[in-house]
Amino acid sequence: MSSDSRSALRELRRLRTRNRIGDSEWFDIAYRVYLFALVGLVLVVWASDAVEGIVSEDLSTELLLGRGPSVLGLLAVAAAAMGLRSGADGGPISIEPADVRHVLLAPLDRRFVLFQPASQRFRSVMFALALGAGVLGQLVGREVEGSRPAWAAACAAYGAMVGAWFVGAAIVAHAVRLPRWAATGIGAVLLAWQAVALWSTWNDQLGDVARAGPGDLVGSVALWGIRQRPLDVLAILAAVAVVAVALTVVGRLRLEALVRRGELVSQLRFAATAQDLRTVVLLRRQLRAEAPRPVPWGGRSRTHDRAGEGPRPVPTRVPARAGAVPVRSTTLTAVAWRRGLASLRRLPFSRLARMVVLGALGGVFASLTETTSPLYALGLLAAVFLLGMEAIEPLSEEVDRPDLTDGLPLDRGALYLRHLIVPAITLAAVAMVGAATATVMDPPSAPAAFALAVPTALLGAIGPVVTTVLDAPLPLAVADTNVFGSPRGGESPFAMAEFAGFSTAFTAIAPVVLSGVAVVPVLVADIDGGIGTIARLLVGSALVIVAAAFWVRRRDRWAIGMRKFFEEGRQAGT
Amino acid sequence: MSKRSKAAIRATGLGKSYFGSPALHPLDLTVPIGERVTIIGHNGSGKTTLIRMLAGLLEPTDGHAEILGEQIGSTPARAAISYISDQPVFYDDLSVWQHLEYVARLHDTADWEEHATALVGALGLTDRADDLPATFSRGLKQKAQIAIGFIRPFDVLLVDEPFVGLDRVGREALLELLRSAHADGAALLIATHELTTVREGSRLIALSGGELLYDGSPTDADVAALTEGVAPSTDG
Repeated sequence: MSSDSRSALRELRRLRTRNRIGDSEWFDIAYRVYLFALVGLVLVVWASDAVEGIVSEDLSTELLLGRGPSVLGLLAVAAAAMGLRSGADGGPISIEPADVRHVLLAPLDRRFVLFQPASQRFRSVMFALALGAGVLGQLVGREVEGSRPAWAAACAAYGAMVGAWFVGAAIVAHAVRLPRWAATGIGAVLLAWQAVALWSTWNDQLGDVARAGPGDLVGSVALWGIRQRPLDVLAILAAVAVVAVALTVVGRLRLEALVRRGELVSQLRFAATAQDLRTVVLLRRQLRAEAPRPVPWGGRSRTHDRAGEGPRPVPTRVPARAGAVPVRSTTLTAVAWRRGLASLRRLPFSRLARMVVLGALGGVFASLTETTSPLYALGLLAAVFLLGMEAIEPLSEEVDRPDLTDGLPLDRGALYLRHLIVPAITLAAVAMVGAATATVMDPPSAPAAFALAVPTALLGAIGPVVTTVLDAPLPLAVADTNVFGSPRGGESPFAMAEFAGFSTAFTAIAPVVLSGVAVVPVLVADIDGGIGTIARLLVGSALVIVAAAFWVRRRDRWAIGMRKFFEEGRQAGT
Repeated sequence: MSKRSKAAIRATGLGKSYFGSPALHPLDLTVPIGERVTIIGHNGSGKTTLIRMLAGLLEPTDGHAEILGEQIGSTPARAAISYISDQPVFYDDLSVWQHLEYVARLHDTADWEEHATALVGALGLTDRADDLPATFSRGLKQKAQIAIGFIRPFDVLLVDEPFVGLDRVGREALLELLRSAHADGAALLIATHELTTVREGSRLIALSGGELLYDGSPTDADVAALTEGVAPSTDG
């Protein structure tokens, strides 16, 4: 490789940076960064003063030192396990398709080419995790011994190491072409080992050997705010080593995986910019190589058995209609039921496993909300929201293909609603996993857990359902008008530039906020777990679920009716 | 062993499967230096898979291949190959000329400016050389991609559906560029549905369902039948 090729690559990158930044002044950029950092700092300090009991109301330094390394070690091991899977799936680096075509196919040393994107990936992931962990660390520092800056610094170091393990494990797994099954196996063994260590530490069971997990030293670094152990330096050295090894082998990344990932990530960025949650979910599944099962659970259908029978004569007539148009409600339900089951039978094992894990995590967070920080409610919200996104696949598939749906001689709201039957049953089954987990965590809460698990899971799915249905185009009759019946882009106050930021933020946050109603029954039951309260919560949850279902069913009709109402009002006014 | 004594392309049992479904059954193929080969076949016959594997963009699941005796994907193989794909790919923020400059320099091309001027002129891109190709129509993108493919030195040219979207000027220019490259001693492997250009090559390969259907002279072949996947008669 000649020095001119290297300098050409450097110039290319410099030029592209200049083109991206355009006419922006460096002073302007620096001022924006300064402003962002200042506002961020003020927000963190303000939020820190507003939040109390971040970890636990009855947290003691002794408990923190005893259990902290195992708990935080579990997160570190999970990051490494996820990194291994990401690497086996072609991650963690994404290269622009044009870079693959024009630079990686050029006779340049690939390590030289890929070093920069790899180190950028390390920097961004480590910085983000260090920042998040640092913010949480200074919150913890308010409740235990040690200064807040010391806690923030120690936790930031821990976050950076977790990031290093994620990216490093991914690059190494990718470079050595680790098969997916091996990545999953190694990750599972490490997680199981750390989980046993955590369990034995938490319950003071087994011996000291069983209490030592592979992530303990990394977790222990987060506690340097009050305790500095020389042994923990090994964790820092290991993180540095994994970064060094990853940057050494980065030239061996697979081009095929980089091509595929590069194309998907550029689509993903666009979808994220457009706040298209469904597309983001679909693309992330493709990044993880999660295709529907080629052979469904339970085997192929009878149609496949007839595949070898050879050609048949071409039908000589158009099929006759069996019943009325639109189809009867029972027929529609049966069709949607079969379609939902077909979708469920094609779910890959990884998605089924993820749903079970999310259900279990929901149970863990729900039981933790009772005795400790309200922040665990956010964990519960995240779990039920993601669970909902996973479960409503039949509805999402229908909404993804509006041309097919619009060609059907029926009210699509009725079809959408029936596509939620199988997801609701799936969610109910997964909710039982959550209830069982919550029971293990806190046995006295078993009756409340089993009573509220299904409503909680269904309420959590409201956000994903609403955002998915909103992705469907408006009915043709009103597609060119806004909610007031005026032509789009006309005099609507919501078309004004001043509202753009608000509506953008609303679109992004609304689904999560809607799913937030799922947390309410759990929080209320934590305060009063009596039978009367549980019964009232069940009735309230049922009403909210029915209202959401009614919206799905009637959305089109309401959209048309509302525009007609305003139109008539305008005509009466003139 | 000198470069001249090696085959331009040598594939041994080269195959590719996706989730157990073969896109290209194991294939043996040797293309001598300076040969112009046309590959035909229906959609899904394996043409693009073969070319992308030789370019190093796809990993074979069976067998292996060499370019001028070097493993595909290796630095010398990448230096030897120019690949013009069926889907043009550009940087969003670089003009045609900037693409040409950097691809040429990444390949250490001598006198690239002179060559680039000639290429954009021949392809009718002179007026658009400072524009962003990412914003071009399909035909202009194809022309820009052809210019990028020919701006750097190569011994083996891999081309996938090069005539898609081209107007008469672009088509004539491309045919002339292909002839020049062939005359310069490069080996050409061209996958196409454009059957009128088949007889410009010295060898025809037909693929069907990922399997080799025909490998021989284009003058002896029933090209239309081969494209539809009909195997040549073995009588006499």
